[in-house]
Amino acid sequence: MFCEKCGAQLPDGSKFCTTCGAPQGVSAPAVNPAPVVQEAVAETVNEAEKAVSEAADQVSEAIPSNPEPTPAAPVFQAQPTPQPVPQPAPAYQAQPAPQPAPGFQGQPAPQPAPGFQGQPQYGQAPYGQAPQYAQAPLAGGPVNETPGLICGIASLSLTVISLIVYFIWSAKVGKNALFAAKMGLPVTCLLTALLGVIAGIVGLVLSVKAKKASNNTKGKGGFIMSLIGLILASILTFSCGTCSVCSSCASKKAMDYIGNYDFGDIDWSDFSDYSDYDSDDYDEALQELNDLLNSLGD
Amino acid sequence: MYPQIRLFGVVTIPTYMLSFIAGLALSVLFAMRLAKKDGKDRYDVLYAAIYMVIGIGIGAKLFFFLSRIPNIIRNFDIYKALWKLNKLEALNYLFGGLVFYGGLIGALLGIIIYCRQYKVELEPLIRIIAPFIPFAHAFGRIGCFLGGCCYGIAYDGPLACHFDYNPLSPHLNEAPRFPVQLLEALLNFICAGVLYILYKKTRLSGRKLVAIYLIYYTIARFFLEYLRGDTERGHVGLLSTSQIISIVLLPVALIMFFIPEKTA
Repeated sequence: MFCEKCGAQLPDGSKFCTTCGAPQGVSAPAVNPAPVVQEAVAETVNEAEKAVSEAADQVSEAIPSNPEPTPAAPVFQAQPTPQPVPQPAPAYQAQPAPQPAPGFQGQPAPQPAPGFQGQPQYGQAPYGQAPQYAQAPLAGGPVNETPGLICGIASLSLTVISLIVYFIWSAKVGKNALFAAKMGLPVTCLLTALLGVIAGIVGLVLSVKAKKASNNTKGKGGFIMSLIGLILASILTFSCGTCSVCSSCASKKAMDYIGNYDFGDIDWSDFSDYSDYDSDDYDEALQELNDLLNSLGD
Repeated sequence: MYPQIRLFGVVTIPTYMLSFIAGLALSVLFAMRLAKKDGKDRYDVLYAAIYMVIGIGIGAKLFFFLSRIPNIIRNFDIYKALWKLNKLEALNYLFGGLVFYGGLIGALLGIIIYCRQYKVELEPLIRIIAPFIPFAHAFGRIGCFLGGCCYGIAYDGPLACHFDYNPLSPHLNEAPRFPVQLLEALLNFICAGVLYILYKKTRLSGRKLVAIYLIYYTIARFFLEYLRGDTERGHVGLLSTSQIISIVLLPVALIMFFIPEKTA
């Protein structure tokens, strides 16, 4: 068998590792389970040993879990994720380990022990494929949850910043779109919301990866924050599109001309041009656009 | 009808978005419950749904963006002047919209990528998710109804709807309209129910369930287009773009249905 913590080779049935001293035969997941769970786990470990050896034959045909490159096993079963029914906490750890045969269909015939989730401490040959232990042990988690968490925080913060900018902007000008000429605030609002969307997406993907490896607090936190950040940021970016505060008559006419807009007999007086705004840039741009539209004809 | 909701009197939120998000959230929750009841891993369903939603967002936006590019290229000087005048409007023109079929393709790509990345079996996962695709879509249609897009033809009989003026759909309030979005939502809900029953009672594979949905939707969409009053979506000859896409997708869906299953 091999040490669950450091991967050193041990005599079968060892209770402690002779290299690092870690106790063996207790579920040693990347998560630190509560002491109660550890006890429950230790109790069922012995029961499951027999079941494990029976399932070992099936396992030898299954693909091992994510972090390792697949051995020569035939690709019948995809990565299964069985749910050991009685164990609550180990259920989270179910993901990464080499699992018994059944695919997505759930419970394997022998009720898998917690031993299935983490390191196969039973030293069965099908599990004990050397490459698995030669790598960094799963105790530290080969998947780092921090990037996901950071992205989640980033996504939420960007959304909040975007909201703040929006409030500043609307407090300054209310429904007065004269500020449309000075695009600084609204564009900042939109861009931060957009960045929030991107951060949310990246955070979600990273968190899903982390959660599949080990469902600890950091992974969960990153996941939830990314999700909320993404939803809020998406709402903000979309509401920029549907709000017409900074619309002007000229811009709507321009979009009408460019295509796929059919304004037809719209009442153009609903949109003003804000040409009384005291800005040369805006007036100049407005003039240019109106000249263009008039020269081309509507 | 209620294109926007004002939160705390300040932030306006488009109702279409809210409805869509609510539909997605409900779909994911129900799918997770179904997975748990049937002994499958519900977290796989959740993560796959996350990937699908990301796919929907990217796909729908991308298709919309691509559909606007030819227009901009053709009228580049106007677009440049528009950009100079009002960058937000210019950006809104380029990105401010979604295309359903882009979303569908994005969703399917999302779930395929998820299964490839984490080596989860695609078939059982799609089998659980399949009934919820039309379910979520129906909520999208309700959102369309509330938002005032995708509206129906002018119609003055029973069930006609009178809309208020909506700057995003300027013609909406010209006449009472047939609530075609609600009809589409109803048909989608019926499809979801049928797929759910098929899921429970038969052993049709996930691929076949999705194919059934596509067959149903393309045919229904083809005929419903005649009840649509928003003509600015573009025509090619006698048919609208959606009808053409439906015609193209129908044989694809049929092939999807009739391809024999791979034997394990």
